[in-house]
Amino acid sequence: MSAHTAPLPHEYPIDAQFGRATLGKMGMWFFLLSDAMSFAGLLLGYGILRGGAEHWRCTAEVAAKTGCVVEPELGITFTAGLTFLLICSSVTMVMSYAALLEHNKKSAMKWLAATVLGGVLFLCGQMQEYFGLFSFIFGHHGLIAEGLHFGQSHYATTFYCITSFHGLHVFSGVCLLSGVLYKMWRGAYDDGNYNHLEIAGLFWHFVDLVWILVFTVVYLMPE
Amino acid sequence: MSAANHRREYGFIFIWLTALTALEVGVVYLPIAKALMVTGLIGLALAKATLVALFYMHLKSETQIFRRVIGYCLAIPAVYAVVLIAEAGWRMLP
Repeated sequence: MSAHTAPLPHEYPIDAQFGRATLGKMGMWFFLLSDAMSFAGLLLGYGILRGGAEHWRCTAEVAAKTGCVVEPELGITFTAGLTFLLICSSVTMVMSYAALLEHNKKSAMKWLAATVLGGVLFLCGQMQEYFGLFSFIFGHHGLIAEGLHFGQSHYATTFYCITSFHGLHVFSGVCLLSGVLYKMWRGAYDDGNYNHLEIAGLFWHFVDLVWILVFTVVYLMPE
Repeated sequence: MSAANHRREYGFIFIWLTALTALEVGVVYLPIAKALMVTGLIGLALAKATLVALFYMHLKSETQIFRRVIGYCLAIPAVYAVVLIAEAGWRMLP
């Protein structure tokens, strides 16, 4: 019995509703929609709690009146840098896709490796933000050391829930892209089949897209 | 579209995303009303998200029905947010 070989993405028969979109691409999009609902639930819950709170963050003034534990402000500048880093990694991802379309394997691998590096650096940035893991570089010992502990308030708990749920997605994306990079190196896409790279790229761009919204809602919204 | 044009387009969108991010951070430090600031921030975030979805996720080159399936589903939480905000506002009425 001969092995069934799936057609290349550009060889897929045109569907009346979905064009040449492969089943894998459609499946990833539907998964991303469900994932978007998860993030939407978290962000809506955040909005409801924050909108209904008399005082969101326990500042020194609020602590003097209510006796709550003073909580640190979130670092906008540092996180803006992380946002820019994720945007850059989205660019390198799409450059890798463009290179693979041109059958330029070396360039595609280079751009994909840069994307993986961007994801790893973002995770390092989150570790610095939570734990001050790189305090020798940034001179900041992390939010936990400054007194922001999971469970002590809605402000703290929602912050850690949302950002760590996103961080889990970044970690998953790094693992997925590393797997695709390995397969690319082994020659799995030498026939010009860019389907896997495109699907992995969709996930990575979604991670960036969600962070754009998380950064705005959690970090930038005025107190 | 040729590969060179694609790359040019990606670079152009990157510049827009960077500029919008810088604008977002800048808006936070402006002495403007809170409602205006919140509206501006959400508008900028949605603009950036739309650029990523259309150009980097290649939604622009998909069929219209595919775009509508994605768009309508993503609109559901946005509509829900508007409803929740309206409900909260109604509760605060004297």
